[in-house]
Amino acid sequence: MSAAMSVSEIDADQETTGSRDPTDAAAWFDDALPRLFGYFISRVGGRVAVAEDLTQETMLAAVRSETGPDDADAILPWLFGIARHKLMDHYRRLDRERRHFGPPSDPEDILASAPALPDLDLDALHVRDAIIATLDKLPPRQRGALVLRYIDGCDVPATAALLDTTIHAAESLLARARVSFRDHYHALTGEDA
Amino acid sequence: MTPTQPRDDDRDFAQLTGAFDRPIAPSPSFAERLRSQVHAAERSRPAMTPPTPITAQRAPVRITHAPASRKRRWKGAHLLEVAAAVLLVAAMAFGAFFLNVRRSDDAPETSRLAALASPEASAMPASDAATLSRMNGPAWYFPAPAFDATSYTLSTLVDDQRYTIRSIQAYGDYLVQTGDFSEGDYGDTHHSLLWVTDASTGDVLWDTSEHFIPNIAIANDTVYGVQVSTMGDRVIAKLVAMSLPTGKRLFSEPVLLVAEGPDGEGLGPVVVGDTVYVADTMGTTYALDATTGEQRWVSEGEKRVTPMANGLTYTAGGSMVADGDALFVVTGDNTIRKLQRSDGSTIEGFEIASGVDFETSLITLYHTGDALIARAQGDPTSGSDGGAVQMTPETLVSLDPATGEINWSRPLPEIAGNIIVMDDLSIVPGRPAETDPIELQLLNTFVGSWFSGGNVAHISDLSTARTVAISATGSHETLLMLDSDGLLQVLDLSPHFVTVQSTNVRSTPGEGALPPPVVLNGKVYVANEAGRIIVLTPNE
Repeated sequence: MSAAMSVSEIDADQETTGSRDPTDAAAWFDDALPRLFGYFISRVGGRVAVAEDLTQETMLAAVRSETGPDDADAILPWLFGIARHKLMDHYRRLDRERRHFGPPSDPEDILASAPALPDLDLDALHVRDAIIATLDKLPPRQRGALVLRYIDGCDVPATAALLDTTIHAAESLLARARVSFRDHYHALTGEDA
Repeated sequence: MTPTQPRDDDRDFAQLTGAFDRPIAPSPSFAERLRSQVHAAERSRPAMTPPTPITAQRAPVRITHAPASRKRRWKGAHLLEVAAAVLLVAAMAFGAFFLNVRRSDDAPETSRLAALASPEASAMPASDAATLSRMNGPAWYFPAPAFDATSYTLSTLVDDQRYTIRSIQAYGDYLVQTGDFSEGDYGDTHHSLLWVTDASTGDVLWDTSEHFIPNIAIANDTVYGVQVSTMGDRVIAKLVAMSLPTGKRLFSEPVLLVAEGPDGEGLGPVVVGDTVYVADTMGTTYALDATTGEQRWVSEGEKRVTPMANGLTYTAGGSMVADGDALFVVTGDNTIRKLQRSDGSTIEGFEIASGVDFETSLITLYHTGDALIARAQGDPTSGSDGGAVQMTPETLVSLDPATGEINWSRPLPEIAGNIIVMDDLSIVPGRPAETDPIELQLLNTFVGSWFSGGNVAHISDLSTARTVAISATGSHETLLMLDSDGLLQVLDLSPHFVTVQSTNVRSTPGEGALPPPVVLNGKVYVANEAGRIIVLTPNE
């Protein structure tokens, strides 16, 4: 598997599972660790401790799992499958806290008519930081939807499945999330687009 | 470019795909720590087994609330589903009554999943079902695998006082709750008020102003509870029967003080047929006519052992289960007696063999059909905080109900919730160490072995929870689990504990234990810390 393979490409390869040699973590640990950490750190607002926790949870869940891929090439897709569920669990926890212990107002109601998303120079550090910061400002469910659909490149049905919702509800959530993202991104950067 | 209207949003956002997949090295210290953990986890990992094919074991009966968008479905499909469900339920009932579902010690592991369906329970007459739930702990059965987080609340607040619900039982169209407005009035015990609500409307139908021990029995539209009151230094106990719909007191008969125990499990009245049985702290057992309260017999118990901790005296005897014509009762000296249900005479030939130290342990009994399960809760000792009481290590012991011979004995982890004991399977919530997250372990009740070398479930959401309250559901290999953080989870038991759905029921953060969820008429009822019952509706 090439190092440049994106998570979305890895996903497409995620089918083969079966009994797995339990002694093989050493074979994938060094390769998987920076990939998983990099995956999480950009999706949890750059919080190192949270990214470390999720990386740890993912690795340990993989090692403790009684099933896994037979094929070495399927290890990374399998790990990212676990990672994505861990990330969604994290968003759900945040969402629970927000709904039950957070302020009574619902930030999901933010529906300003913000400018469209500009063409982004995604190699520029300040742009990447702005995107990460903007994602972090979104309500957790909206953040999860955007991450799955656009950052990870899942299609809408897969996004809906991972969010435990219907396709229609996922589309609606994505629409609100896009508006909210544009609104926050504009407020953060001051950029028109 | 400054458009005021968004362009094709979907395409604009697609430029983000793959932009945040770059590997980033974590700190070396974290990497090394994680490497050690992964290595340790690998070494402690049980032997590899092929994945268990579970799809075929999912019972096809589901409660389906079709969303509005599906109203135009072909009606025939719905009819077929209903027909299939009816056939399955009929088959389960047939199996329960006529096939006497065969079990054996060398049954394949997959049989544990079928055990959760427990057709014996779902096909059981209401009165016996109540007894079963009383005997086996809080186990309810329903076929829905998941639910919506949508809910409404039934207020049980009175004059703005906070009402702590300690238990909920479901019967017919009613919810029976025990609880109190305060904690600690009785030291570490929990004498409770009793409330009955209409499950569908939440209306409080009646309540008591007297205190009862929390373990009550419900049968034949009657609530049986032991009322406790004090007169000077004396504690007076009465077995009281109340009409479930109206609260009318049907009879009230004096008994000796009935045990409560550390968590109350397995204690309180038991109703079998037209007789209600109740045992006191010495194991003195009363049999009364369930309708009139007329005393049928009394069997004297044994000397009383009173373990003490933090100045509190812990009652030892009183746990009781019925098995056919026999009644097993824990006596005050921590032995188990087998009585004839009809006249209270001792049935000879049942004797606890040596090998398990019941001398000073608190014992709770469970009944599994083939075996008598005794949970020896260990000796109470004073807690370090001056208030809590800790137990020495607990043990679960399986006894031959005919002879008392020990089938197996297993030490338990530090228990962090209620244990569910069923015919094939026991579910044990515990934690290896005080700061560890709660784990759920499956025990093969036949042979006393942990499934799959422990089959431990690490529930990540439980990392901060102190305790869990669990209820098994039938037809699916599903568990309802409410943790003390207020998180309600529906867990798929096979092959791992996977959270199917979850929601939070607490109004405010806290860590006090919440009672196990119950299921009635296809809905899940849970109580939160604010004295409210939250109703969750199952869906697809």
